[in-house]
Amino acid sequence: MIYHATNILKQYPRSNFSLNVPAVELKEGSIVGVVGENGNGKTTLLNIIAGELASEGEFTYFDNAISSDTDWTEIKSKIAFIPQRIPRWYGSLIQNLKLKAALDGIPASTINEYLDEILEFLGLMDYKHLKWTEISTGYRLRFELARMLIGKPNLLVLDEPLANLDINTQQKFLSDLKNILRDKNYSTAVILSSQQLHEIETVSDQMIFLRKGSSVFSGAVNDLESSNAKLVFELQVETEDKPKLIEFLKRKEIDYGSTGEYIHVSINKTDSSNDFLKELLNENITVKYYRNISKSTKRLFNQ
Amino acid sequence: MKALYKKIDHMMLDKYPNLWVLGVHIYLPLLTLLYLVLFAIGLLYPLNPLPFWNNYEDVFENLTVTMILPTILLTVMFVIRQVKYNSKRVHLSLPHKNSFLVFLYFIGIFFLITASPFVANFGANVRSHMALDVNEFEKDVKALEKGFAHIFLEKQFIDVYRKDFNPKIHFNEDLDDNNDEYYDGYNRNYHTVRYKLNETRDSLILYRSFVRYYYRNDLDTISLEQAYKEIDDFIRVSSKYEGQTTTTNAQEIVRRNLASTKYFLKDEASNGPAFDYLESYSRFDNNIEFHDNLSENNSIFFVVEWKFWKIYFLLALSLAIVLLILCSVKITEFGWGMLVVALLPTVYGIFMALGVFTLQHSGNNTIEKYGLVLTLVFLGLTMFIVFSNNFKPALKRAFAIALHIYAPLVVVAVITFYEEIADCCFRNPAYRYDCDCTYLLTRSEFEDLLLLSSVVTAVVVTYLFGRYYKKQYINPQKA
Repeated sequence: MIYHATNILKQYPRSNFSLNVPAVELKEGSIVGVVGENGNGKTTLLNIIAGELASEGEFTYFDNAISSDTDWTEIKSKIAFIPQRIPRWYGSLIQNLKLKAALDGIPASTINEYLDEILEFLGLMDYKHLKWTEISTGYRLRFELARMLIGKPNLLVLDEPLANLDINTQQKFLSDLKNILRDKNYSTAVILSSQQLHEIETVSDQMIFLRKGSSVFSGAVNDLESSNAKLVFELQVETEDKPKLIEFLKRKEIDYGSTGEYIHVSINKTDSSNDFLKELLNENITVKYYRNISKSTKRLFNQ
Repeated sequence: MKALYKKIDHMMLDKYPNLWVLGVHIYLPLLTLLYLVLFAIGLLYPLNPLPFWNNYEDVFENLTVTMILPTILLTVMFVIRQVKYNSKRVHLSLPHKNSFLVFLYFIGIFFLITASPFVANFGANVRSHMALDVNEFEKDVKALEKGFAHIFLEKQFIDVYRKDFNPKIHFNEDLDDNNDEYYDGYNRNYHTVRYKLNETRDSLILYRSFVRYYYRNDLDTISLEQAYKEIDDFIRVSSKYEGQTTTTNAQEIVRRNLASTKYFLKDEASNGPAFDYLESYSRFDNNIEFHDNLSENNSIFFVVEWKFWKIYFLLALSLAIVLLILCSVKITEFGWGMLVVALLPTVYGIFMALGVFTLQHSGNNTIEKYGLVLTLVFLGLTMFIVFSNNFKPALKRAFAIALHIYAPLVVVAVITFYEEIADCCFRNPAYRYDCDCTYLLTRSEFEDLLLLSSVVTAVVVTYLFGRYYKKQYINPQKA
């Protein structure tokens, strides 16, 4: 077990906010996604897991229980934490990577080979001689990831890594993460937070949904559907068709809600989503966007 | 050259990252080159013929002043590199032992950088010692000092006799036992005889207080034979330093001096007699001044004085402490720390001023006792904030920075207050004071003790606070 924590409780002085998470478990080779609205405790939870922030609770890192006498130097050496705002690097990227590798004790004779392997793995070879100011946000993140991988961390904590990345870069980055976990060189667990629900759910084995500091859901994404008696869809229709859709839902006595242009519809599991869509088409309603979010934490946002 | 630098840079980065991050491969060669160039300037400056001292002194003083700007530039560059590469991210991940070695390295580099303006002076010192024989000068100068009173006497150095002083050649027989009567100050009308023949003894009475090298600050009675010898010696030795006299006849010089003095005594002019048998005085004076400064380590040659460097070293030590702190904490927390560093002495000063104002008439070293107590109270409060768990981490670290910086000064203050309160005399082998108690140390030894204790405190505190900062950031933070 890479990380195990129970009864995580964090209260900030002079603040009504408190984080209360019953349990977090990170196994080797797994990715855990942390989602929730802004200000609901994602960063706080990740900071606690990364050992940056003290809190109440029982914690075990790499099978070692944490006590007041624990020497964090050894533990921190196995944790790679990439905060939302990555600290700036000075000098060329390869210079920084070499420095980290050398300080981590990689033998001088193998440093270049070792780094090339990581850079090749992350597709960064062509950029290694550039400087921080010469690369985009996405590449900065990936270079930071490369830097973190040098020490072969056992726990990778990433706070909002997908923020500010375009969709292709997001996919590429998540694919990198998957590849890292598949690679036998890295016995690592990953926990990351994000607002990109679809993307993060695609790669995560487990999800934690936080609302007002409390863990509303914690488990595999598939468990979401079994824990709910209804199917939930997210819809967007042409603006002129919206009244028709509302009228249809009311007529059929279907539960619905809306967030901006999106309508969230809940139907019984016994009903078929295909039949529901057909009925919409029969009503001459033009569907611009449709997604079944029954297995997504997205539906938790609408509760 | 650039390719070579890159090659070395890569090699250092791969093999010796701890040294690379410190910029050893940049600063040591750069400073070595700078030292060699500056040393060479001092070493190669021509000394044959011996340049006029003032010009020579100006060259090296200007060089020192000119080097201040590059020194500041090098210091800033070094600090920037450390903050960029050796920042908290890297610095705190190093083993603690390495952090302390980094501190020692900082001291070394800062010392080399800040001492660079004086390197040319070292070269000049070495070159001057090669070109001039100081040992011989020190022997020669005694002859010159003795002879100078016969050879050169400026008007303004002559004092006025009292009116009733017998102008004939006559002198108090007990002169040697009653010097005070003749030269105990200007409030009375007594004054000294500077060049006078005592016929009864067939001797000259000289006051040599203002010979150039202060050979003697007293009345001096010598035989005529001795006077002739002193003049002959002067003439012989002065020629080595381009000093020529208008006459080489010692007897004539004595005779003319006496006549001049007699003439003055009769006239009782406010300005006394002047006699000057020197030719090309400026060259002679300059050469003597050059030798003298070299012999005494004066002016630009002070760079070989340990007493200068032991104080100057504090500059490098202070810079190293501040940089180490800067590398050990977040920049914003360093800023808060500096604010506390500025505020603490301000508040301390206000309390001290209030105390001095209130206790100024109480006597019995009350103010010193108050100062000692106040210092200890401030120290205690600061330590409480730093080590207690009741304060925010950022506040603790800001006070830790202030404590780190002020600890050496606190030690000096406590020792000094204690010394003032004890009110004993410093040991003085040459003089016995009327004191109730005497310290084991002389004043100079006491000052050395203060210096040493501040340096030792700075080093020990830096070692301990290195651990403190590391623990502060490695352990999970309380919000």
